[in-house]
Parts: sequence; structure tokens; C-alpha cells
Amino acid sequence: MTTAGETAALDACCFIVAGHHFAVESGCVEEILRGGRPTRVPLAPPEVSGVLHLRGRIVPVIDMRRRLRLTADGAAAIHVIIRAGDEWYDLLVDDVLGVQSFPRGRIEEPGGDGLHDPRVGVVADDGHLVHLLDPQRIVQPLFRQRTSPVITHGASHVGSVA
Amino acid sequence: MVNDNREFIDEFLVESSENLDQLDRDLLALEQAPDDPERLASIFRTVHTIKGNSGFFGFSKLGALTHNGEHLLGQLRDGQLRLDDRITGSLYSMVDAVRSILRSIEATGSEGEVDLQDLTSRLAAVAADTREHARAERTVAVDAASLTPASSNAGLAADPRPVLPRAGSAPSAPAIDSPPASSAAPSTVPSPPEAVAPSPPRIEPQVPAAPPPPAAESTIRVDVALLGSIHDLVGELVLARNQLRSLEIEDPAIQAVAQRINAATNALQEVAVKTRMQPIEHLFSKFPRIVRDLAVTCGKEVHFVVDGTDTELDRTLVESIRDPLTHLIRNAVDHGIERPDVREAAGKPRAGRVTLRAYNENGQVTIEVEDDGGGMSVEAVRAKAIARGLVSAEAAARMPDERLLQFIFEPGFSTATTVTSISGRGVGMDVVKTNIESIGGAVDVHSRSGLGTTIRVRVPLTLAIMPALVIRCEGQRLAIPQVAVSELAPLRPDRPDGRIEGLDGNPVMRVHGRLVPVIFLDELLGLRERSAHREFGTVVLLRVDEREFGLVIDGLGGGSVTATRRAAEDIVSLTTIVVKPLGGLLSQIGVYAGATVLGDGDVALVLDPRGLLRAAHVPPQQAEARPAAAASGAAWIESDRYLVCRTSGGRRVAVPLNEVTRLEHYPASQLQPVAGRKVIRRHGGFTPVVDVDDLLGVPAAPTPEMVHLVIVGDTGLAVRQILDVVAAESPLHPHLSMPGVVGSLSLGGVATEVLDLAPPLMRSMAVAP
Repeated sequence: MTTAGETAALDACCFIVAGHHFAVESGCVEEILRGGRPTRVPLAPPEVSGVLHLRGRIVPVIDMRRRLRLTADGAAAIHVIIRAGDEWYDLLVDDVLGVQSFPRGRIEEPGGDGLHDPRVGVVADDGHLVHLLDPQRIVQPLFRQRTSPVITHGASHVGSVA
Repeated sequence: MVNDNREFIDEFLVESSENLDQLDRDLLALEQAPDDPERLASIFRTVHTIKGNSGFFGFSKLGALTHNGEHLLGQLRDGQLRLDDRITGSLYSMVDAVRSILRSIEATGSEGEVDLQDLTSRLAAVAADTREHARAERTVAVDAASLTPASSNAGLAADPRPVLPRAGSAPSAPAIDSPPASSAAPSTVPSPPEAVAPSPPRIEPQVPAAPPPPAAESTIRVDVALLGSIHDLVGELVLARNQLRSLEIEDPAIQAVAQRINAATNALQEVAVKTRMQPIEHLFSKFPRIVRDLAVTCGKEVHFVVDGTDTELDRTLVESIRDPLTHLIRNAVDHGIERPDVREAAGKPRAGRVTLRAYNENGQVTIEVEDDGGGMSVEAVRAKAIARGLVSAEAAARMPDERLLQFIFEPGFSTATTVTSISGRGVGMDVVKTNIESIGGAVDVHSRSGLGTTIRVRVPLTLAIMPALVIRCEGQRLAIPQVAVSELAPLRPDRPDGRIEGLDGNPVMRVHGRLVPVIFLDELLGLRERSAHREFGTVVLLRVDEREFGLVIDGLGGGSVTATRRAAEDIVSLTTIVVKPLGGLLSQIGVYAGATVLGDGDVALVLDPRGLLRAAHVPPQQAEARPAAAASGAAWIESDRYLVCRTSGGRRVAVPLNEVTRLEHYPASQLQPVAGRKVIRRHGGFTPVVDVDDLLGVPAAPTPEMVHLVIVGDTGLAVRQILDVVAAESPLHPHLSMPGVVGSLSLGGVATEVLDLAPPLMRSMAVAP
């Protein structure tokens, strides 16, 4: 993931889910919200706990405990809004620690690479492991296989035409 | 240099692409009237403009190409050459080549690796041929003069609309014997690209740069992204306005301000919607060329008529219907219109007619693609539908033709080889349907064998802002687009008109004498167990694609949940919503068209009525649900009498009485299993027995002591109880996807399912239990 010209350090937004440390590259983070009242979406994948209205967009809320198959007590109430491709997603996490800089040299390959594993790297920091997550890989497994051919259309994506 | 000029190049690309569309139109028109000097001048100017710009940006290939084209056009304009097929062909090729270079410039910033030597020299050669051509043209002209009245012009005179040309149909012009102007000299050898720069100066003063059309004064180009953000902001404003309206304002001064904000927002919203609108002409203008090329390729003569080009449509929707429409038009030319000789033999004019028509209707835009070709054979479609197992032979025989034709939209309907008259006609029709439906549109087909086919596409004007009904379901608020809502009815178990029947199979409700399938929204959305059917509530009657169904909900309400609880039970809440996209992840669920923000800031999902139908597997009905005593087409069913029985699962089922030969009763002990199926010995032979539960695909209950058999043909149908013989009171509503059932109708005031007795099904069921 490193190419020439990139800086030697990776800035990442760190957060906690069920006691574990995770991080996403800070460049893809749009906003961090506390509270919020998601509207539930019947028939949505179980990891999607609802949608939130944010700056004119309808953003799906992904319950990161469910997504990462972790359990914890209490309700997670911090929303990390990230960009994956053209769309925004809201990661519901337990706590946000802030942006931290990790030297790229210290980032290692994650252990398992299951299909549903969103991790792209692991870095040891201050006595614990921080798992680096890739936005696309967080979201991708939630998409079902499409069966019918549909021409992609921009019908409602008014602002997406550059 | 290229990078420095990116902004200018972008502008050049946009402008050129418009110019090329204009060129296509002009060339088509020129073919009709080869001597129209204004047309020629317009084409000349357009090519000249592109040439000038390409020189400015240093696109040498483009320059060389357009230079040669311009030269050729100059000779046409000056009367040194007359338009013929060869020249037209070269000019079309030039337009295509220019287009592909522009695409390459847009994508990569450079002209790409296109080899234009061939085309360039062809253009030059055509131009060089002047003298020879003038001679050749004279001969053609003579031929044309003798041919004209007999063939194409006869048809032309009757119809002033443009007809695709046939060689030599043009009226003869005075022959040109004067030698080519000396300035044409450079083109006697194929011009290398380098020759472009010093383009013959004589042209410059004569040809002013394309004069801007009068409209240009009052219009400006606006970035689509900028328009997009205006729409988003107007959307936000509408939401804030809705919030403001839901507040209880005491102060009259603030009330007055709120009023004005309200009025201004309404007006602003209307204007904002208008800026999204684009005349459909923009899309339609591409089609004459496609039709022309395809007609030439297929060896057909096609008269292409375009109507209603000023109809306006949301520009994002215009993009979405481009591919489906192209497909339909290609189909009409390729498969609809017959070859000229076939048409003549059938007593039709040689040239077929394809009409593309757009108009506004009921707040939607309807686009029709109509041809006067061979039409589709209903019989072929019927046979095919039966062969593919989409419908039983029995049901197919009873289906109205209009309904049968809709099968061409089934996935893969005609991928297999099939009867010639429909082969290819259905290829990709399912994709067309899927795409049209994905933008909330609908498509249907009407065809008469030998006379032609009309495919009608209906799309909403815009997707962004629409009136909607806000409803409640298990504490959740949802919006339903108003365009689909036809009626609201209370659920009343104590009255036959408000009661839901047929809970085990397909729940239906009687509305104005019609049986309408019913969907329980809470159940469909997984908000409530299937067993816990509600008895009270509200039914929203929805109509999509001429199909009607009822949606059972808790109630209506646009205010917050608590507020509506306090208020009266049924508050009709019709409000304007701004539909926002849900994103790929959630649109894949298939029942939501988007989401909207309500007055109190809460998000409500917008239901997609078509998606609900799909998700609930509501079987297609007859295209028009007719009241029992209405159309004569229903006569066949009204005179029918049915034997009504009860299955061991408790369902009421019926068999047409004329199919029943005998009713018999046997002790269950006489049923014998033979080779995995049950038979009964009667009249000295074995009669296979089919349990109706098997036929309906539900697990069979334990066999009771007495078996009641309804003998149909050579098979016995085992039922739990034989109830009555009743005359039908309503037309049959076919259910296509229900195993064992052809449909339901009203018998003795109760919805009853009619068993499918198609013999093959019976046999296969009897053989393989």
C-alpha cells in the first residue's frame, strides 16, 4: 500500500470496539459524531443498525461490534463517518482516541486474511495492537451478490457528476 | 501545452460534441434535400469550427481530417460536386472519426493511435473526382427523374416528414460542367497532415465562425455539480421549512415571516426542479443516425418519425433511459420492420415506419417506440411461455393477448431459438424492463400480428422531489410515493368489503367488487411474525404497472410518533418529500426507493411499490381488473360453474365443473401405494390419486378415514370435503407463480383458489410424488 512519494508515516484515526484498538486512515474520515438517533432499516444486513442524516446525505450506520464479530456491554454511541468510494458510511464504535501517526515501516501484515476480514495491517503501539482497517473491506462483504443486470444510473446522485 | 489548456480543451470538447450532433442531424437532412444551400453552409461552418479549434490546440490528425472534409464540403457548397451515397458515406465516416478522436482526447488528452490515412485520402479522392463525378451524377440524375414518381416520391408526397433516402431519389439539378476552381488544386493529392496549417485562405473571409444561435444570448453553461449542490441546498431548505411548519407559532409577526418563507421555498423548489429538466430532444437527436445506419446495414427502408421532442425530463433520468431506448429502437428496425420485398408482398409501403414519441401524461413522461412491422405472434409467445414453464397451458389459453405479450419481458425469454417472428424481439427485453423499473418507470408492449408493435415506456418526471403519503408501521414511519396510491380503505373484519380473505394462500381483499391481493407491510419488513395477522388497520391501495394491490399498515401520520399517537387514529399525511439516495448497500434490499428527512428531522425510508410487489411475490394479475359484470371478455368465466372443495389444510379450492367426471368416496384403506405413488382400484382398473395438498405444494396432512375423490380425466383428486357447486361471480385473477393454482375468483362471496388441472402437471405429480 506504500508507493513512492508517500510520507513515511501513516496518520490514522484510532477507535475502540469491544476493548480492541482499531484505526482507519484519517484521510477517509469525514466527521465524528456523538449520539445521534439512527432510523432502523428493516431487511437491512444485520451489521447495519440504521441510517443517519448527515449534511444532506443518508448514511448507513454499521455496527462495528457486529461487523467485527465482537461483543461488549453497554451501547456504542460514537459515530465515525468515513468515505469508501463515492459513498459515506457511519461506523458505530465504543470510543474514539484521536489521530495517531504510525511509521509505515512498523506496520505489519495482519495474520488471517479471511474474506470478511477488513484488516490491512497491524501495528504495535504502547503495549497493544492497533488493527488498521480498510474502508472498502469493511463495507464490501455487506453487499449481496446481484442477480439481475442493472445499468448503473445516477438518477439520484445529483452531485456526483464531476 | 495540452495540460495548460485543459480548461479550454474541455470547453472545446463539449462544444465539439454538440457540433457533431448537429452535424449528424444536418447530414441526415441533407440526404433528403441535397441542394439545400443553408444546410450545406451549416455543415461547412461546423466542420470549419472544429478544424479551426483543432489547429489552435495542435491536434494535427483532427486538423487534417476536418481539413479534407471541409474541402469536400466546400466543393459541394460551390456546386462543383453533388451529394451521392459515396460522399455521404465519407462524410459520416469523418464524423465518426472526429468523434472517436475527441473521445480519445477527453480520456487521454491526446489524439490516440487512430490511423486516418485511409479516410483522409478517401475524402481527398472523393473531392478530387469532381469532374468525373459531375458526369456520373448526371446519369444518376436522369435515372432518378424517371424513377422518382413511381417509387419513393409517391410516398413522400403524401407524407411531408423526412424519409431515409434512396439512391437517386433527389430531383435532378443543373449539371455542372465548369472546371473545378483552381483553389481545389491542393486536394488532388491526398493531403498529409502537415498540409493543414496553411489552409486555403480564401475560405476564411467567406465563412464567419458559426454564428451563435439566438438562444445563446440568454443561456449560460453551468457545471452539473454546481446545479447538484443547489438542489441539495434547496432540499435542506425544504426540510427546514417543513420543520418550521410543524412548530406551533404564536407570534403573528413570526407567523407572517414563516408564511413568506414557506411561499418562497415552494417557488424556489419549483424553479429548482425546472433546472433539472431537459428537453428529451437531446436524447432523441441521436436516434435518427442510429436508425439510418441500422436500416442500411439490414437492407431495410425505414421512415423514422420523431415526435414530442420538447417534452421535458429530469436530466439524470434522460441518461438512464438512453440505453433502454436505444435497444428498443434497434429492435424495432432490426426485428420489427420487414424487408422491403416482404412488405410489398404484404401490401404495405416498402418503407417501414418507426415512430418515437414522447408526451406528458399523469405527471409522468410516456415514450413510445412504435413500428408498423410484422408485429409479434401471440401464439408464438404463448407457446414459448408454456414451454419455458412460465405459465400452464390452461392458464395461457385463458389469458388475454395483451397479458401474454408481457412475457417477453421475462428474463431470458427469447435467448433460446424460437419462432422467427419473435426471435430477437425479446433479447434483452428483461434488461430494458429492469433498467426502466430501477428508475421507477414501467414498460409494456402492445402488438398486432402483421400490423406492428408499440412499446410504451413510462418514467417519472423527476425522482428528487415528490408528494408522498407518510404512514406508520410498527412504530416506524415510511413514505409511499403518492403517484402509486389510488385509495385508502379501513380494515373491517365485520364487513365483506373490508375483510381480508384467503389468509393461508394469497391474502386478498374485495374492493369495489374486485379481488385485490394484499401485502402485510409489517410482515414483509420482518417487523411482525406471520402468524400474528392484524384484523384492524388501514389498507393503502396501490397501483403500479396496471397492477393493483393493498398494503396493510398501522395508520398514517407525518408528525412524530408520539404526536400521532395523541392525535386521531387516521391522519392523512400527504407531504412533499425530498428523496435522497440510499446508497448501494441499502438499495440492494429492493423495497426502498430512497430515504427522506421528515419535518421533525427524523429519517423515513421511502417505499418502492414495485419492489414491494416483487418482494412479496405477488403474482401478476390480469392487466385490467374488471368488475364482474363488465367487459365481454369475462363472459367465459361468468357462465362457468365450479365445484368447491376443502383441502386437508383447510383451504377453499375450486375445480371447473365441466372438468369433473365423477365424485366418489372410498375408505382410505383402499388407497394403494404403487411405485411411489398412490392409486385406487376402481371400475376394474387403477386410477392414480393426487392429494390436492401435494398439488398445492403444502405438506400433506394424515390421510383421513374416508377419501373424497374428484375424478378429473383419468386422475382422482383427493380432497377433505366437497362443499358445493357455485357459479363464478367474478373474473378469474390469474396467479402465475402459485404452484397448482391458476388463479382465484369469488365463489359464494368468498375468494377461492382455482386448481390448475393442466394434464402434464397432473401426470407428473402422479408419477413423482
